[in-house]
Amino acid sequence: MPEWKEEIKLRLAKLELEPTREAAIVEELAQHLNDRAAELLASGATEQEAARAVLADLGESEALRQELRRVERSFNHQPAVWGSSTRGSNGANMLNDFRQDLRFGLRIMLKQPVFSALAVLTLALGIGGCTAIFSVVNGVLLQPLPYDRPDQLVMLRELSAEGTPMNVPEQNFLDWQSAAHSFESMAFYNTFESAVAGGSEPVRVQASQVSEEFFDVLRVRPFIGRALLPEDHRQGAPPAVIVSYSFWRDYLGGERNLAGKQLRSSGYSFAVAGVMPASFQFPARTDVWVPKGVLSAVNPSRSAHNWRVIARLKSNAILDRARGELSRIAKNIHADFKDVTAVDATVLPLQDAFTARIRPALLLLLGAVGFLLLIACANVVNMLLARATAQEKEFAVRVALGASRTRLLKQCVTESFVLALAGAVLGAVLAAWGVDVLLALGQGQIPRSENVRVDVAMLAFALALSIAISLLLGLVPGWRASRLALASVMQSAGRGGSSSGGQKRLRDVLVVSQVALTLVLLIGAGLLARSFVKVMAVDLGFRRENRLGLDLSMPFPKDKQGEQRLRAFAAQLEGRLASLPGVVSIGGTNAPPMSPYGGNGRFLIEGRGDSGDYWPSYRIASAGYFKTLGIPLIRGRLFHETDGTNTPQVAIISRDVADKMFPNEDPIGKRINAANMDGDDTWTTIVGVVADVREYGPESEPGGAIYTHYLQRGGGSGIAAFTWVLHTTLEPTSLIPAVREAVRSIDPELAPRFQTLEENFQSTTASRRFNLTLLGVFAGVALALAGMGIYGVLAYSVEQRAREIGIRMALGAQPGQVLQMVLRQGGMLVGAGLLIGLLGGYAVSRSLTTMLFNTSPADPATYIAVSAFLCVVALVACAGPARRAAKVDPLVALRHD
Amino acid sequence: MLDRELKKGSAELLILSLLEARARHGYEVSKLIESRSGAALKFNVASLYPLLYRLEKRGWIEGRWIEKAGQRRRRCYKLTKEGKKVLAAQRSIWKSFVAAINRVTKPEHA
Repeated sequence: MPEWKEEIKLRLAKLELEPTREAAIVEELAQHLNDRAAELLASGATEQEAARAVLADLGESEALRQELRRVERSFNHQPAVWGSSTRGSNGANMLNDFRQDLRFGLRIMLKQPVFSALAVLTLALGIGGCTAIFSVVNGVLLQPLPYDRPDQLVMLRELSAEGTPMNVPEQNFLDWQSAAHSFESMAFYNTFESAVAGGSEPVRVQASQVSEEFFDVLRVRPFIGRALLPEDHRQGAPPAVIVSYSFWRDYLGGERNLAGKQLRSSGYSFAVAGVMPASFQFPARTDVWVPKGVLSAVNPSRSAHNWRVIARLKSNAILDRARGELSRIAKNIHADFKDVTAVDATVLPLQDAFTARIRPALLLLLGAVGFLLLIACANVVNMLLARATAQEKEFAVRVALGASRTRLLKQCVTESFVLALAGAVLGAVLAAWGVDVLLALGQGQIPRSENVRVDVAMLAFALALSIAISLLLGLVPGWRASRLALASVMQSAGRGGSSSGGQKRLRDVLVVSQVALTLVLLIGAGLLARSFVKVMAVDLGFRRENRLGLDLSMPFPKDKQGEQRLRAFAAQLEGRLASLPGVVSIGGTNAPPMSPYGGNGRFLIEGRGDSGDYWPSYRIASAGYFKTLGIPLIRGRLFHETDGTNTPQVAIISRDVADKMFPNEDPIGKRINAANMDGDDTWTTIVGVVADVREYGPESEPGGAIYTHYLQRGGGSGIAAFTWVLHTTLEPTSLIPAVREAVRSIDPELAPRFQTLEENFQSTTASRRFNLTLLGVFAGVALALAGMGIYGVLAYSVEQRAREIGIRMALGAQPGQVLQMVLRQGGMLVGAGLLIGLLGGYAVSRSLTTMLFNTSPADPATYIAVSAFLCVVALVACAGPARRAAKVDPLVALRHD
Repeated sequence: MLDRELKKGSAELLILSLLEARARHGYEVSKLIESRSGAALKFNVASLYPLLYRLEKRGWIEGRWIEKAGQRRRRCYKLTKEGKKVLAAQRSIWKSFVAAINRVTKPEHA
C-alpha cells in the first residue's frame, strides 16, 4: 500500500500552507484514502486495483490544489510575492475562467446571429470611425516631426497691424539673423512650380528656393552625393541642386553616380549635387531644392513678404523668451524703417505652424466621431439590456446555485468583450479603408498626410477602444443581472415576466441621450451645409464653367532678346490655340482668380502721390482675358489688338479702384505707375473700368484690381508665368490633347499643366466640402443608429406590454388609442432628446463659428429643419411598433403566459 | 457551465442535509451521497474536502477531531445554528426552483 500522506503532501506543497494546517489536512485526507482502500480490499480488489481507485478518488493533483487554494487563502500566512508560484497559478486560474467565458461568449454570439451581427456592425461603425479619425489626428497632430530634436524647430512669422501672420522679407530676415541670440540657426525658403528638363522626360515639379542654412536647421543630409555648400549659394556660382528621392528614382533612373547629371530649368543648367532620403519631404511635395542665391540677389524691399522662415532654437532656449526677443527686434525694424508693413513678429513651434489650419477641423471631427461611438454604444447597451431580460431567469438560478456576483459580471463583460473585439476587428478594416477615403477626400487639405497610415498605434487604439467599450457594455447589464434575487424573478416570472422599472428607465435614458447626441451632430452638419450652399451661390464676378487653364511656367527672359522671343512665342501660341475647334476665346494672365500666385501693392497716381494703404491686386493680362472670363466692362474700353509694344502703355482698373481712388471723377485718361509691382516705371493710361472679381475665391470679398497689357509690361516675366484660359463649347478637359500637341509643336521641352477653372474653384472650397462630407456622414450614421434605438426600445416595450395592451383592448380601448399610446411613449423620448439636443447643439455650435459662412451658429432655420428631419425619422421608427401594438389580439395576448 | 455551478450549489445543500441529523466524518459523507443517490452523485476528495473547509469557514458547520479507543482519530463535522438556518433557506429555494423547472418543463396541453 502506498504512503498516502506523502502523496498528499506532494500535492499540497505548492500551496505553501502553514505547517500545522497542512498537517491537519494531510491527516484527514490520508484517513479518507485509507478508509477507501480498506473498503476496496475488503470487497475483493487486489492491492494494485485498490491503489489505482484511491488515486482516482484523490483526483487530478491540479484540481485539489485549486479548490484548496480558494478556501485556504486566509490560512495562508506566507507573504504574497509578485511572481511567486502562488500568484502565478492564481493567474492561470483567472485565465482559465476567462478562456471558458470567451468560449461561452462566442457560443452565445453564434447562437443569435442576427443580434450579434447587428451589434458587431454597430460597434464596428463607431470604432472604425473613431479609429480612422484618430489615425489622421495621430499622424498629423500628434506624431513629432521626423527631424532631429523636433521640439527645437520653430517657424518665425511677421505680424501685420491686425495680427495676421505674414511671410518675411529677405532684408528683415537678415536683420533677425544677425540680432537674435535664441536661435542656433535660421533659414528661409519658398516654393514655386517649375518645368524641369534633362531627366528622362520634361516634367513640372514643385521646386523650393532655400537659403544657405536650410538643411542645417533641419539637420538632414543627402543620402547620395553632397549637401549644398556656402559657395553654391553665391550669385554666379555654377548652379547646383538637390533632388528628392522620388525624382531621382523616377527621372534620373535611380543611378548612384550623379556625375554629369544636369537639369535645365528657368534658363539655367543645374548640376545634381545630391539626393535627399525618401523620408525627407519638406516643404511638402518638393522635388528640387535650389540655392536661393543663384536665382536672385537680395531684395532690399522690407515689404516683399516672400519667404517662410524656419529656425532651430538653441538647446537651452525657451520658446517664450525667443518670441519676446524676436518681437523686440521686429518692433525695432518697424520703428527704424518707413516702408515696413510688419509691426511685430512671433515664433511658433514648427509642428503647430504646419497644422494650425487643419487642427480645428480635425478636432471637430474627432469630437463628432466620439459622439457617434457613444451613440453606437448606447444602441448596443440597449440591445444587451433587452437580451439580459431574457437571461434574467438563468442568472437568478445561477446566483441561487452559488455563482458569485463577480463571476457573473466577469462573464457579462467577457461576452461583450467578444462582441466589442469582433466590432474592433471589423472596425479596424473599416478604419483602414476609411483612412484612404479620408485622405482622398482631403487631398491637399491635410498637411503631413504622408504620415497617416494604418499602423500598430491605430490597431492598439481600436483594441483599447474595444476593451473600454466591453467594460461599459458588460457592466451595465451584468450589474443589473447580478443584483437580481431569485425570489423576485421567480415571482415576476409567474406574472408573465416584465422587466423592472429601473431597467426601463435606463433604456429610456439611453434613447433620449442618443436622440440628443444625434441632434447635436445634425445641427453641426446642418450649419456646415447651409454655409456650403451659401458659398456655392456666391457670385464670383467671373465665369468658371467650360474654362480650361493652361500653365507653362517658362524661364524668365534674361535680356531684351529673350523678352522679344517670349512675346513672339506668346503671340504664336495664342493664335494657334484660338484656332482650335471648340475654342470660343482665349485670354491669359499671370495669375487667374483663385490661384495663389497673384501679387498686390501700392501704385502711384499722376500728380497725387501713392495709393497709401490701398493695395489692389496687380495682374498682367492679354486682350482676350476679360471676354474669356466673362468679366464685364463698365466704362471705357478693353485692351485692343492694336495695343502693343510700340503703342503707349494702357491699363484697366476694376470698379473698386475707381470708387476708392477716383471718387467723383472719371478715371479714364488718368495715368498711374505700377513700378512697385513689376519694376517697370513707365506711366500707363487708364482706358477702361471693369467689374470686381473675388480673386481669392467665394469666401473673399470682391477686391480692386489693376490690369496692364501683357505685351507692354513686366519685361516678359509676367508672360513666363502666364496661365492661358480657354473658353470652350466642349467639355474643357477634352481639349487637353489638342492643346498639348499645339504647345509641343512650338517648344517640345515645355511641360504644360492643365486645370479647369471649375477644379480651381473646387479646390478653394475643398476643405469646406471635406468637413461637410465627413460631418454629414457621421450625422447620417448617427441618425440611422438613433432610429434603430428608438425602434428597438418601442418594439421591446410593446412586446412586454402585450398583455396590458390586450387587457386595455378587451376593456374597450380602440386600436387608434393604443396606437396613440405607443406614439406618445415614443414622442416623449424623442421630445426629451430634442430638447437636450437643441441646448447641446447651441452650446457646441459656437466652436464651429470659424467654419461657418454668413450663417449664425444659432441659425433658427437650421435648427428647425434638422429637428423636423429627426422627428420624421423618429416617427418612421415608431410607426412599426405602434402598428403592431394596435393589432394586438386581446385573446392571444391574455392567453400568452 | 450550468453543470458546474449546479453541482457546487447543490453540493452545499447535500452536505448540510447529511449533517443535519448527526455529526459525520468526510468519508462517511461521501459514502452516503454516493449510496443515497444510487451512485448518480459522486464527490472525490478534491471536491469534497475543500467544500467542507469552505462551509466550516462560513460558520455553517464545525469540525472537531474525535478519538475513540482502538481507532485512529477522525475529524467529524456537525451543523451549527447558522448552518441550520441556511439549510432551511436553501431547501425552500431549492423547492421553488424545482417547482419552477417543473412548471416550465411539464408537457403543454393543446
